[in-house]
Amino acid sequence: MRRWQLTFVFGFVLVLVRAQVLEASGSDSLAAFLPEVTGWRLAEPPETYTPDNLFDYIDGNAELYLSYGFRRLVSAMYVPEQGSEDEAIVVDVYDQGTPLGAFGLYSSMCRPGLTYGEVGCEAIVSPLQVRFWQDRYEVEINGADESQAELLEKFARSVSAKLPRCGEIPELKWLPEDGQVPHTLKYVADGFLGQDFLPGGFEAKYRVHGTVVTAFVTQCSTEDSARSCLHRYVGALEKFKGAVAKQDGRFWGVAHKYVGHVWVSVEGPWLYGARCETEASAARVVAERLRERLREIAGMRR
Amino acid sequence: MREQQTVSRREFVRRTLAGGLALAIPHVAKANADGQRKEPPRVQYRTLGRTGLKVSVVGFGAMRTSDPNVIHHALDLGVNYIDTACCYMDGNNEVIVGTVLKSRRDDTYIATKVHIASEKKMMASVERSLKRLQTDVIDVIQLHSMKKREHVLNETAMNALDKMRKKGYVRFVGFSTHKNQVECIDAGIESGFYDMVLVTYSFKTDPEIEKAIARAAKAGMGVVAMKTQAGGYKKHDLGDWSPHQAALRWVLRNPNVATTIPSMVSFAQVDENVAVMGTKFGARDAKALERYGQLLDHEICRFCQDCDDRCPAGVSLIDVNRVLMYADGYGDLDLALRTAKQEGTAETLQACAACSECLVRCDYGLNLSERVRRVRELVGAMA
Repeated sequence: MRRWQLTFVFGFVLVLVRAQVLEASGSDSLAAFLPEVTGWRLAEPPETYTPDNLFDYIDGNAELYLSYGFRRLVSAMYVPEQGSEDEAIVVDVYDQGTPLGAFGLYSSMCRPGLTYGEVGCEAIVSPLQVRFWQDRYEVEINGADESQAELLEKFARSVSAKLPRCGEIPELKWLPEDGQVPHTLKYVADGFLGQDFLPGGFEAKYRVHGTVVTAFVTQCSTEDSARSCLHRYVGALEKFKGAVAKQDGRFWGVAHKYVGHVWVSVEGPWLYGARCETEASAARVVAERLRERLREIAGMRR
Repeated sequence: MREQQTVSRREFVRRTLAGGLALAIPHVAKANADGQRKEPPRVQYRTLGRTGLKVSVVGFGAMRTSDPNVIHHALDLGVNYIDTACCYMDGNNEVIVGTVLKSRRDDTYIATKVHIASEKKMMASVERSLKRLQTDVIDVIQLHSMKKREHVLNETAMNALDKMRKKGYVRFVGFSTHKNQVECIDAGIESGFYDMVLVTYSFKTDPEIEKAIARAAKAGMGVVAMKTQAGGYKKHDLGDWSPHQAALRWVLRNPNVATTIPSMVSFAQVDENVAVMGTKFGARDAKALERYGQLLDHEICRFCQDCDDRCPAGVSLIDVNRVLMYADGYGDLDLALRTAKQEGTAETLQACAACSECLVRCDYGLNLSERVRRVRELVGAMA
């Protein structure tokens, strides 16, 4: 046998052995997070998706996941050991690259009025689905019918136990927690405030004497860059016919029937502000509160 | 069998020239040569099949839009067709669109989607959509993501849609399809039930789908095109030129397409897409798309998986392509190296050394030998 043939055969055997070891140990990193629940088994081998074929699995919804840094998905269907496929439970573990990506994706689905649970860093729980985020992963457990609600949580907890623990995302503290309407804090990765030139940013809702105000903040590379973004943002809002923009102290204010009342300013590298549909004064109160918060953070950084 | 066949260069040029009358008309080509034009867009409308709705040829794909002002801006520029779905952002996308509709319902046609389920669940879904959209009627409801003929002809679903129409929840019914599109479109025509169809259609689309679109239009179904940019990487070394406008113009050359729904998240994207209205596909567009197409064809793996298990040494060429996608496409060397490590690509490529060149041929013409060599360099650097 020639040398290259020997090398070929040796290599081939190596590959086969490795493949078997991988199969036995389930060493695919995402597959290792799949749940183990007594009485349930995998209906078929898990499927993996990448950014190039995520559309095949979730169609147009894929764009949202991609915008939050999607890297890979493992999807597995479970069926009862003794039962039919009609009772199948599907587990999807999305690797979003970073904890912020996972939180951002999860937060895009949140709103007040849903039921939230304590799985992972936080979970949205419904009779047919448990969705949670933890570390850089967003996990979705989907059931076949409403009788499986408790079971879904069991699956979710099994996945959660295998994932890295929740860490702190410092940026989530930029918007003050005091007065924040629960489950309204969002991270928008792409097109924050409708502008391509802004980096990803955060928004959350607040109540001021019964009026809802949305606060927003993003961090630019420098204070100069933040000022430049401020002027471009005000310019964009002024595109609306009849929009009125004026400077009032450290804030720029814009008012328009679609935009509502917006106050926006810069604090160090942060571009921040607040908007309210009906009351300029309520938006200003929240914008001022946000400024204080950012100054506090800047002080802590020094 | 793969549904969407690649379009050969000759076929691409034939198809673009056939409709690209602008190539023979110098002043039209010159008008397009400037890329973005300065004057306000001339809004163009077409009729959405038998619905009779006069829709702007550039519609609004809202699936990722988080700021309602972006939608307001598009409506101000003449866009009047918004597409969303009950599942986008788990319902929040409809909430965002609803904040716009509540003050501008008369300016807008709204299209959303419902998944096939029991009649009770489908009715409940559309009732939730009405509430989130802050409207009392949805203009177009679409069955979400039909993948085969049986889905399109599902009687339970059709009965539910009919009931929605009779109850005044919706005006017109249709479906969206991403896979087996020809089969699904033909089933829709055969049923005589659907008013419209939402299809994947771009300059990279299989000509058979284009023919099916023509049949649908002839049968009175309105055709809405999605994924008009053909996907691909965001970063391309194409100078100061963007393929988006050219890709959109290419789609709009086809009179059987009533409107398009490019996804838009910013004012700038709205400006770029809306500017296409009232312009014609020109020589510069044809050239630019040909170049973009070449990039898509020869630099980008489609992950069709046809090369899987073909390597006699057991090298996973899918993993090789994935590592390169992360390294070259996303510019994320760290992810590329981690993927190579996780998948054991470095080890399997040891076996690859036995061949002087790659024995596997890519159906799409990717140079696999070169790609394997690149990954060997990368993982070598890792070691």
